[in-house]
Amino acid sequence: MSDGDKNLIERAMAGEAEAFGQLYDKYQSGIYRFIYLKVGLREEAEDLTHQVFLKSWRNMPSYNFKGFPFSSWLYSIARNQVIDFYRLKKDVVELESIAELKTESDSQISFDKKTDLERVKNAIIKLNDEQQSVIIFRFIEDMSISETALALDKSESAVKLLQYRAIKNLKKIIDG
Amino acid sequence: MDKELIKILSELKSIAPDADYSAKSRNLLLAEINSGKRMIPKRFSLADVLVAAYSRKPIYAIAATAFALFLIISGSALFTIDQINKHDFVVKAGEVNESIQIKLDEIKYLLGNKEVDYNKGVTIQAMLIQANEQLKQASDESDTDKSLEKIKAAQDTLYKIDLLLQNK
Repeated sequence: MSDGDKNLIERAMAGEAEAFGQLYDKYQSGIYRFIYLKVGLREEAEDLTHQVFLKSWRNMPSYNFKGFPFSSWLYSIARNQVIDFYRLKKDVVELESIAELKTESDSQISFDKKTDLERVKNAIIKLNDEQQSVIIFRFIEDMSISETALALDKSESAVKLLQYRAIKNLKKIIDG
Repeated sequence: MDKELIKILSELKSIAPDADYSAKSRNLLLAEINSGKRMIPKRFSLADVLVAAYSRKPIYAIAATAFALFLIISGSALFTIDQINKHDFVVKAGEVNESIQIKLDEIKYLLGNKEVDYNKGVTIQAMLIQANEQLKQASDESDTDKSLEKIKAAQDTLYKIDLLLQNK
């Protein structure tokens, strides 16, 4: 964790709203992306992301610096939030109803590329929670094995195995 | 194939939230923070939550204290899981434990910040006792699979309490 982060967290824990605002600016995109790739629906992802930050604010005093990055803590809240979302929703999200993938450079992406992105995104939703998380952390958020292990509360060797299985399953789903 | 797939995955990095939504969400959060709502001072145990639940109704306060003391003396059910020498079970239980802790924090916050009517209060108290009983049974259970089932049942009970408090 950077000194800048530590300083912001300490100020936020002391109740300084703007410090929490800066943490929000830094981590909100990643948390949103993580949730969106798990639920596949833009509005739900927005609501859940908001809830994650609300919960993190409410629970800031329970955050512990010791070897646990702030981002990992946020991701663990986000994972729980998504699990709650599916428990509440109860029914499986139909792929047909999943919002079309929109990226910042959508207009510049060729049709084939869009189709590839769409297929991969839809395949991620079919993976189980842990496999989704490892794919997002490792290949989309570029987190290291050790960071991923902390975020998933697993050993590094367990993450490597999980990653291997996740890639294998993802390819299987994409190939139909 | 792997390289191609990983290249496509890295392109999903460009998924970003809508700027208007982000600004609105940020403003709402800061408004909540500035409204002066207090944060939870520390991580809570089930005993803390029970005390908070009972103390809303003064007539239950003494019983609640006695009950909370019983919980503290009997020890947190989840801690004994560490003594069980089955790695897989410990990993799974640890994950559920983290989820339970987050849920307890949320319930504690809601109990402290939401008005709960008498009937709902009674229901919540009964469910908290049920969750505690499930955790105690999990601790006493020698079969690890059954123990994990009990822990998950407690997690489910806490999830229901959270929903009840949020009026869902």
